[in-house]
Amino acid sequence: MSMNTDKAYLLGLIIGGGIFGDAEDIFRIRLPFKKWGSYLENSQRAGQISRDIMNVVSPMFRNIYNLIVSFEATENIWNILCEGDTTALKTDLENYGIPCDGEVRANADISKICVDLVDDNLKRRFIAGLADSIGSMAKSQRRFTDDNQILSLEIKGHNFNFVCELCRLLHDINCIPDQVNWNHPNIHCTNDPYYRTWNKQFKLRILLDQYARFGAFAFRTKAESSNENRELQQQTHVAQPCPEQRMNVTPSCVHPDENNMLLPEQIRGGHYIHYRHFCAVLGCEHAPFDKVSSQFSRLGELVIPFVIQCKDTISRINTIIANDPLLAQRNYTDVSVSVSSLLTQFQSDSNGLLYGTDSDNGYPINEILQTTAYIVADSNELFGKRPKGYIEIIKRHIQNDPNLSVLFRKPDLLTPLVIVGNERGALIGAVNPKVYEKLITRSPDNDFKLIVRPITEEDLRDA
Amino acid sequence: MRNEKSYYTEIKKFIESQLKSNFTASNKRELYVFWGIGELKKELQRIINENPAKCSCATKFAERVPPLSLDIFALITDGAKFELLILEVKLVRSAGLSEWSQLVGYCLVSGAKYGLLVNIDNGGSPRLTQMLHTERHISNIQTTVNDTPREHLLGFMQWNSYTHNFEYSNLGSVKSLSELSNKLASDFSSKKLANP
Repeated sequence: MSMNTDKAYLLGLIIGGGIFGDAEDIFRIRLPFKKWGSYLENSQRAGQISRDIMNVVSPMFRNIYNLIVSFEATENIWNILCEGDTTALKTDLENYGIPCDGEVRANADISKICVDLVDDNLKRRFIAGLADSIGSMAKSQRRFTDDNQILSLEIKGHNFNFVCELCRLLHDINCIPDQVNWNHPNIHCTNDPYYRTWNKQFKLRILLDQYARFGAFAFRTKAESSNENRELQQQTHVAQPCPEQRMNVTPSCVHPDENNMLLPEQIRGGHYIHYRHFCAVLGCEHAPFDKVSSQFSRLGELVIPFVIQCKDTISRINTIIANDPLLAQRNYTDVSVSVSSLLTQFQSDSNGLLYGTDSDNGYPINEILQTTAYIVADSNELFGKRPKGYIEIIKRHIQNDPNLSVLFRKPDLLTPLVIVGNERGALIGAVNPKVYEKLITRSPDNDFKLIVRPITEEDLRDA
Repeated sequence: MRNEKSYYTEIKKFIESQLKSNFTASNKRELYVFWGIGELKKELQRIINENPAKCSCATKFAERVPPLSLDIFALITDGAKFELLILEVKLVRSAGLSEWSQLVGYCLVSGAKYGLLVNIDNGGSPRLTQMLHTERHISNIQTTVNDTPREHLLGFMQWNSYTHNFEYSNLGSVKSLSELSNKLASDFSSKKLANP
């Protein structure tokens, strides 16, 4: 059966949330609505979601695939249950190269479907299915303030090509994504290689104004949320084409899970300096290749082979040091450092470097001050491990005790500086561009893919 | 307070885009949809005069069709064949047999093969729903006019004015826009004359 607008919508729903189990005559579409769809949080919305399923999805499934739809709702997840002879649907999916096994989006290659989405309307219907299933407009999705409302397509797994294809499809209908948070340690753990829970999900984020103008929802609940969120904005926003968007690149640390086998070969083993760097490596025609290349001249500043900043208990910090031979084999000199002197140095030059061997290396004072705030803070001044306003915390504590000091453990080479106090500890990586740039090479099969070899004691001694 | 006419534009736009997309996807060529509002005969003449290259196939039909006042209709053509789609758009709490009868009458008198009863933001009455479920002949009507067999296929759908989407009722012989598209694709690819 050929593609049509209703089938495009259903395929979007299935690829967004479809899960196939062993049973031949049933599958489900999981809608990960979390709090947004919880009947405990908003019973009116939950009621409308059930109407959307029965009024929009059910008749379409009945008509296109002769399947009977029902649903079940737990506190955080809705499941659309599709029962009947699934042969026609599975045949369609298999013809499109979509395996009907487990979570569809985990392994889906939508390139064959995209070929059949021959015009913008079909593309829009397919995307509407995805947006209804995995499009989140929860408050946490906004960018900084209520004035930048976002629709985030949330995709589990490690299917980078799927996200890239989807991004292309969104471009085709002028829903230019605002940002792509790739499911990769360089995106989810830019500062701390010891933070291992990088494996979250992809987030394809689109300005809600842009989506409202060019995209679509079939669920009334989604359309209502879109309108409610857009009303919070003071102005309307227009997305810029990818090559024209600003690319602000900040240093990121090398993470051991860059080599994780969960990552596809095309991505695995590479270090990525910005989310748009992934677009270039994946060969997306919308990638800002020139802007990515221009950053390659300062890779020594951008790629840090150590931790940038790690805050934890002193025992955890000691364990980290003990487990890394390069850190464990250092000679450390203990220095008691006055917190007020650190603040003075920060105020005179917030980009300053301490304890370097050269003018362009050393430990960044701004990182030191942030972690010092963590060390000296009272528990109620922390949000997890994050100080609530680090400058204010420092000033408050100096006011209470002008002689306040913290203990620095300075290594004999420019491996991470250790700061301890108050049963807490922190590691601060050094800036050392001349040494770091020697560790970086380009992949022989992809000129945009950066390979970073591990740093050695010799690298640091030879500097 | 909006009246039903104020919804015509969005409904027309949606139907047209779905039909065109589906036809392009299945037949790999273009479909043309021309809309008329009000009196059928005059509007058909206007459409043909404005688009002779694509609509001349409907000339004879337009000459013999009786004057008839309609909400909206569409002349759907691939340039060689055409079909007529009549929309009966309602803004009522519950569309019932009288609204269905109106659509049936318009289709029989005009000879239109396709008819859709569209209720805005509401569904059908229990009586209509039950009849459309059980009495297939009231949505798939076969007649013979001047020894020529005619077929009329009718459906009932709900327009969601908030999402700008159709919510299908699965009632009648045209259960969805994709089904309507399939039928049109079949009409226009078959060798026999599609239109009356």
